[in-house]
Amino acid sequence: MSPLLQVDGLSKSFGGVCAAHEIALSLDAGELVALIGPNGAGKSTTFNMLNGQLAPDSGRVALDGRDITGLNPRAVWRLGVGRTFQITATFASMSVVENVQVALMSHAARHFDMLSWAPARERDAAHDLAARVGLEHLAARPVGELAYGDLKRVELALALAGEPRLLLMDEPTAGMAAGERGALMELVARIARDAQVGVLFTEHDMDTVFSHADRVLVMHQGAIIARGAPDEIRADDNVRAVYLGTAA
Amino acid sequence: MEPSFFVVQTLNGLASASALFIAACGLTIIFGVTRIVNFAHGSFYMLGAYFAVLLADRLLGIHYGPLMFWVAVLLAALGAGVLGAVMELTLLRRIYKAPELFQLLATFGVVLIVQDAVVWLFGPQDLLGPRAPGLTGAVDILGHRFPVYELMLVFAGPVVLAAIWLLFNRTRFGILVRAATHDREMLAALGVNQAVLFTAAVFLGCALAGLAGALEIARKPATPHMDVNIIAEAFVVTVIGGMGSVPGAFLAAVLIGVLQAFGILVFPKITLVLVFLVMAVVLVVRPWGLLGRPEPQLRGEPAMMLPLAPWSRTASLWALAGVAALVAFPLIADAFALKLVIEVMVFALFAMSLNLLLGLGGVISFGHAAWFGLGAYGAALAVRHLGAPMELALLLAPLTAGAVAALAGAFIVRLSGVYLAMLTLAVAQVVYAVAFQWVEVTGGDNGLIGIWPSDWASGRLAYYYLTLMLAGAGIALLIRVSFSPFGYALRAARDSALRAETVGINVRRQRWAAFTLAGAAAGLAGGLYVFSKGNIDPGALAIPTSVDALAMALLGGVQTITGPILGAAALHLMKDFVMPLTDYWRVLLGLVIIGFVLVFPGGVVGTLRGLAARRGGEASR
Ligand SMILES: Nc1ncnc2c1ncn2[C@@H]1O[C@H](COP(=O)(O)OP(=O)(O)O)[C@@H](O)[C@H]1O
Ligand SMILES: [Mg+2]
Repeated sequence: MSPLLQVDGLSKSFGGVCAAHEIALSLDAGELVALIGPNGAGKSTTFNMLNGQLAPDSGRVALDGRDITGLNPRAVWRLGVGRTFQITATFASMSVVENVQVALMSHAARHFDMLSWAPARERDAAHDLAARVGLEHLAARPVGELAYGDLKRVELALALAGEPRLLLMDEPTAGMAAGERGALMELVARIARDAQVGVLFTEHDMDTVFSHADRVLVMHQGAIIARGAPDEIRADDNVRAVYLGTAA
Repeated sequence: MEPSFFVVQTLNGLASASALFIAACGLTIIFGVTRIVNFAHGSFYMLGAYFAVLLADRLLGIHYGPLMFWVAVLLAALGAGVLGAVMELTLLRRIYKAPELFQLLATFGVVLIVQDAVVWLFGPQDLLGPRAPGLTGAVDILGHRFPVYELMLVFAGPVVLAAIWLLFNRTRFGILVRAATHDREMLAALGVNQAVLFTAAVFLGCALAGLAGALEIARKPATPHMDVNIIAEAFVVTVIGGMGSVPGAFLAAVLIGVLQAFGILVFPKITLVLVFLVMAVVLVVRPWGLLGRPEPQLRGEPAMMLPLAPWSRTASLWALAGVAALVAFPLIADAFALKLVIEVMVFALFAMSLNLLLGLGGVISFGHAAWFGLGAYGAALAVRHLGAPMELALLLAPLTAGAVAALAGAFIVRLSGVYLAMLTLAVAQVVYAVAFQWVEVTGGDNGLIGIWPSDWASGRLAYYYLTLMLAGAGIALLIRVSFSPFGYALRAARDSALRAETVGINVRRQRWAAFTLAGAAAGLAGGLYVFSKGNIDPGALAIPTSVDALAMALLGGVQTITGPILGAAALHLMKDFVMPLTDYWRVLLGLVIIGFVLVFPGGVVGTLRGLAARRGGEASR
C-alpha cells in the first residue's frame, strides 16, 4: 500500500536562491511528523508546493498514490488536504462560526447556491467544529477581534472543515503561551489518531516537537539534512550544529 | 496605400501621440508617487488650455511673436501646476490612506467643481486660441502638405520624455520620485520630507497636464468638455503603459496615436472602441501594463472589511414597513412625486447591484453605467427595431446586460485593485462609444425617443406599481443573495482570497458570477428607467452615471443592506430639487462627494463603528 503522502525530488528556486532542493519525504495516515529548521530553511516553501500554492520546479507529490503535482490549492483541498498558514489567513469580517460555515458550505459544494439562507446552513456542524478546537466561547465573535493564538485555532477549524486525510500545519502554535501550545498539539495528536489523519507540521519550540512528533525531519538551507525519531534527532551532532546549537 | 500617405499618416499619429503622452505622463507620475489615480487630471489639462488662450491673446496683443506665445504656454502650464498643488494641499493629502475608491471619487468631485468653474469664469462657448506665430505654415512631405505645428508636436513628446528622464536621473528630486514609485521603504529610509515631495510631484504632474492642454490651443478650441475626453484616453495610456511608468506611457501613447491615425481610415466609426479594446487586450495579456510592475502589495480595504450586520427581525419589520409605505404612497402623492419615487426605486436597484460587487465582493467597478445603459438600450432597441412589446423588452434588458457583463467580467475578474477599476471604466467607455458612434442603430448623440410602456402600464400609477414590483423583486433578490452561501463565499473571497482558495472557493469564478448578476440587475434598472422616461441617450452610459451609482452606494454605506437604497434616495432627491434652482449644481455635487470622503474617510458605517469602538474602549477603561 502506498503511503498517505509521498514526496520525491521536490525543488524550487526563487531567482538564484534555491529555497527547496530535492525534498523527499513520506508520511502515513495517523502519523505526526515535524519539519523543523531555522528561519529561511525552506519549510513554508515546501508546504506551499505540497498544497499547490506554488508550482515546484521539479519533483512529484503523491497523495494516496495519486499524483497531485501541479493541482491548484482548491483541488488539493477537495482531495482532503487541510492547510494552516504561518501568517494566519481568515475571513476577518466574519465570526468564528461563519468562518467555519463558509468552509463547510464550500466542502458541501454549496458556494454557488444563491437562494438558501446561509446563516442557518451548517450551523450545528460549525459550532461543533468550533467547540472541537476550543473556541466555543468565542463562536459569535468576529475573527478580526481575536487574539493570535485563537486565530490559529480558527485556522485549524477551517482546515478540518474539509474532512482532511492530511493536515499541513505551518507553525500552528506560533504566538501561543507554552501551556496553550501543549494543549493544541495534544488536540491535533488526538485528531490524527482518532480520524487517522496524517499531520505534517513545522514548529520552533523543541519541547513541543520532541513530545508530540512521531518522526522529525530537519531542514537546512533548502535541503533535508537529517530524519528520524525524536531521540535520534536530539542526539544527531549535525543537527545540533546547524540548529539546536543556535536554539539552545 | 501609397507609401507617402503612409508616412504622413504616421506623422499625424505621432503628433497626437505626443499630446497624449504629455497629458498622460503627469497622471502616471502622480500615481507613482502618491498612489492616487487623479480623475481630475483632465481638468488641469482643460485649465491649461483656457489659461493659454487667454494669456496668449493678452501677450500677443502686447508684442506679436513666437516668444510671447511660448511664454503664454509655459505660464498656463505653471498655473495648472499651482492649482494642482493647491488640490494636493487641501484635498489629496487628507486621503492618501483612504480606500482607492474614495480617492477616485474625491478627485471626481474636483472634476465636477472645475467643470462649473470653467463655465462660470470663461463662459459656455468654445474659445478659439491664436495660431502659433512662426509655426502657422505647412511643409511639403513627400508631396503632401503637413502643418508645421503638427511637426513641432511630433518632436514635443520625445523632448518632454527626455526632459523627464534628465529630471529623474540627474536631480535629487527626480531620484526621490523614482524611489517613491518603486521602493517606498527606501524612501522612508532616506528620511525625506514626504509631504513636500508629494506636493511637488502633484505640481509637476498637473503642470504637465496644463502644458498638454496649452499646446492644443493652436490646433483646436478650448471647450468645457475637453476634460472628460482627455481623461479617458489618458487613463488608457497610463494603464497600457503600466501605472507609474513614464517610458511605458510614451510607448502606449505612440501605440494609441498611430493606431487611431490608421484606425480612422479603416473603421471611421469605431475609433473610440478600438482604443479601449487595445487596452482590454493589453490588460488581459499583461495585467500590469507594458512596462508596469505588479502592485507591490495589494492594499486591503479596511473600510470595506466590516462585518455585515446580520439580518434581524427589526430589519424585516422595517423592510415590511417600507414596502407598505411605498404601496400606499400613491394615495397621497401627485404625479410629480410618483415620477420622482419611480426614479428613486430604479436607482436604488442600480446602486444595490453595484453594492453586490463593491461591498460584498470588494470589486471596485468604476463603469457600472455600462450595465444600466445596456439594459436601457437593449430594451429600447428591442422596441425600436424588433417591435417588441414592453414586457419582452423588460425581460431582454437584464438578459442583454447580464450576457455582456458575463463576457466582459470573464476578463475583468482576472485583475484587481486600480487595474480592475480601470478595465471596468474602459469597458463602459467602449459601450458608450458604440452607443454614441453607431448612429444608424442607436441614434447617436440624440439617442432613441418614444419608448413607451404597453397600454396597461402607460398610466403613471400603473407604471409606479410595475416599478415597485420589479425593482422591489430585484432588490429583494440581491438582499437574499447577500445572505446566501454564494454571498458568504463572495465575502470570504474579499476578506482573504488566499484562505478562500485553500478551502476550495474559486475566487475568480465567485466574482465572475457576482459581476454577471450585478450586471443583470443594473440592466433591469436600466430597462425600467427607459420606459419611465420614454427615451434614452448616451448620457445614461457615461462616466457621471457610474459615479452616481458609486456615490449612492457610498453615501449610504456599503456595509449596510439598506445603505445604497437610502443613498439613492438622498442623491436623487438632492439632484432633483437642486438642479432646477441653479446652473452650477455640479459644484454642489462635487462638494458633497468631497465633503463625504473627508468627513467619513472610512465610509459612514466604518467611521461610526470606529467612534463606537473608541467610546467602548474608553468606557471599559
Ligand atoms: N516568494 C518568494 N520569492 C523569493 N524568495 C522567497 C519566496 N518565498 C520564500 N523565499 C525565500 O526562500 C527561502 C525559504 O523561505 P521559507 O520557505 O519561507 O522558509 P521557512 O518557512 O523555513 O522560514 C528564504 O530564503 C526566503 O527568502
Ligand atoms: Mg516559514
